[in-house]
Amino acid sequence: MKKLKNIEELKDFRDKCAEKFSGPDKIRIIVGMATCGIAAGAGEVFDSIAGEVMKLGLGDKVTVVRSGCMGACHAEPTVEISIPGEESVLYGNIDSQRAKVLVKNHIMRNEVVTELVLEKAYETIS
Amino acid sequence: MSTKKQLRIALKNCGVIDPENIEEYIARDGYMAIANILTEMTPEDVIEELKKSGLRGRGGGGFPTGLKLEFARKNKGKKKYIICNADEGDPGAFMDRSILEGDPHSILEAMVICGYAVGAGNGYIYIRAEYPLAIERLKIAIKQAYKYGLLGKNILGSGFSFDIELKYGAGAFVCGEETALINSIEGNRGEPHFKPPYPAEKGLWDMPTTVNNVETLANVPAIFNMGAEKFASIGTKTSKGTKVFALAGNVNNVGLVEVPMGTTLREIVFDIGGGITGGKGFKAVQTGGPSGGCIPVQFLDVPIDYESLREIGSMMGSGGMIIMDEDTCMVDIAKYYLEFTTDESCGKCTACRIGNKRLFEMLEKITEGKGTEEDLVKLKELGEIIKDTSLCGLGQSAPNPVLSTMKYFYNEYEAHVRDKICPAGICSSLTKFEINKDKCIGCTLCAKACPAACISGKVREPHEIDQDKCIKCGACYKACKFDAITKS
Repeated sequence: MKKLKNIEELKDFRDKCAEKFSGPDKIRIIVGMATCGIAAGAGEVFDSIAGEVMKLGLGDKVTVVRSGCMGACHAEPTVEISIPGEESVLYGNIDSQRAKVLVKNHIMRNEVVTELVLEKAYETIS
Repeated sequence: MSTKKQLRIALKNCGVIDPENIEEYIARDGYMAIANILTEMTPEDVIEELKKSGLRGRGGGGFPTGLKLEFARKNKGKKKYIICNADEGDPGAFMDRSILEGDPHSILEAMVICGYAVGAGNGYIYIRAEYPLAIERLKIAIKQAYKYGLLGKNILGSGFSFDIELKYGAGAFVCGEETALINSIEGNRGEPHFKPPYPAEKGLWDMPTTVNNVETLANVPAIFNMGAEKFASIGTKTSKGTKVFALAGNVNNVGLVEVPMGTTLREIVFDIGGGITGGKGFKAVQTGGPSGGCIPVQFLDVPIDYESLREIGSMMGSGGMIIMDEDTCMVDIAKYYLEFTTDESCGKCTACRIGNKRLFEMLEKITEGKGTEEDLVKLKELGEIIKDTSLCGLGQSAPNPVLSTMKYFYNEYEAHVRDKICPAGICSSLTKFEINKDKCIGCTLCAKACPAACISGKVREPHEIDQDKCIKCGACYKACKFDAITKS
C-alpha cells in the first residue's frame, strides 16, 4: 500500500474499502473482543465460529471479525450477525457450543436463535 | 423520535469494526474529517467549529474543548503538544479503555485535528500500563496510520505533519490530573503543580500543550463529519452531545452505555440498566468516581448534565456510575472511597495527605461503632477544609463521597454513632446475628458452617450463638435453610 497523497485518493480508497466490507454478499459475524469479552471467553467463541465457518465451506461469503466492546457486559461474550438487507442481530451469553448453533441456524438456515437474542438498545449517529 | 434511549457518537465504531484493521475505519468515513479539514479549513475555522458544537471535556471538569484549543493556539512556543489523557483510574470505570480497544483510529484522527488547530506537530498518548490490549491495538493503529500517510510528514499532501508516541503510566491515580500527567511524561514524579500556569501556556517541556481525555477526542472526528449544529442539537442547554457511562454495581444490565446529555438517572438505571438485581430497592447511584458523590432516590428524575450533577452534590466525572441497592451501607461506601484516595494521594499537600487519612480513620471508627456525635461535626468540618486547601482536583474532591453521603444519608451516620447499629447490616462490628428459637429446628447446619465454633446446641434442639466469640462473618446466616437466623 502506497501512502495516500490527497483527499481524492482517500475517498477512492474509502469506496474500495466500503465495497470490500459491506458488499451485498458480505455476511459479517462480529465477536466482541475487548479485554472484558476475552476474559469472558470470547477467544474460544471466535475460534469456534471461525472453525465452523471453514468446516461448512462458508469462508467466501462470511467474514468473522474481532471487534471491541459492544457494551453488554452483563451478557458477555457477545456476537453480532449482520446479513446485508436484514436487520443485524445481537446475541449474548455465547459459548463455543452456542457459537456453532448460531452459524448453523442463523447463517445456514437463516433462522434467528431467538432464545439468545439481546435487545440492541442503541442507535448510532449517521 | 425513536424510542431507543441510547445514542452512540463516541462509541459509534466500537463493537462494529475490527480495530486492528485501518481499512474498516476508513470504510466508515474514517480520516475523512481530517482530510476535509486539511483541504478546506484554517486552524481558526476548526476551533470555531468545535466551539459551535459545544463539546466539553469528558474527563471530569467539563471545560469547553474549543476554548482549550484556542488558548494553546494563541500562546507562543517553539513547539506545541497535544496529549491524550488515557490514564483512566476511577474504580469501576472502563469507558476510555473500551474506546481505545474498539476504535483506536478515531483517537489518532482527533489528535491530528487538534494538532492542526493549535499548530502542534507532536502528540502523546498517556496510557496506563494496566491496559495491555488497548496499548497493543493503539500500536497497531499508529503503525497503520503512518503506513497510509495519515500520520507523519506531509499528511495527505497538505504540508501538515504530526507524530504520535505512546507514554505509559504506572497506574497512579493522580497522574490523571493534567499537570501531574505532564510531569510524569517528562520523567519526573507524578505530582501536580499549581495552576496557573495552565498547560495551554506552559505545559509539556514548558511549551503550550492541550490535554484532552479519550472520550472527548472520540467525539471530535464525529463532530466534523456530522456538523457542529447537529451535534449541538443533542443534549441540554449547557451540555451538548452524549456521555458514555460505565454502568456497574447492583444493576441487572451492567454495561457500557452512551446517552444524550439530559437523560435522567431513572432512564439509565431502570430502562437501560434493567433495574436493580434481585428485585431489591434502589438506594443511590455514585457518579464521578472518588471525586463524585452519591445521589439518592429523590433525584432520579433530574436530567443529567455537568451543571445538574454538580448542583446535587456530585459531578459528571469521567463516567463511572455505580448503582447501589437498599442493602448498601453509605458510611461503608464513603470509607471505601476514602481508602482509595488516601492510597492515591501523592503526598504533596498536607491537607490531602494527612486530612484524608484522618477522615478515613474517623470513618473507620464510626463503622466499628466507636464514633461519637463530635466525630460527625469534625468529619464535615475537616472535609470542607480539605476541599478548600488542596492544590489539585484529587484533594479538592476527595471528601465528596463523605460530604454527599452525610448530606443525603445523615440518618445512617447517626444510627452508627448514636444507636451503634448499621441499618444495612454491612458493618460487621455493628451487626448482630441471633437465632430465633421458634424457627430453629436444630439441623446443626449453622454450627457446622461457623468458623469460630461459637454456635452450640443439641441436634433437633434450638441452637445458640455465643455473642462474645462471634466474628460476624455471616456464614451461619447464609447456611440456615429455615430463616431462623436474624441479622440486625
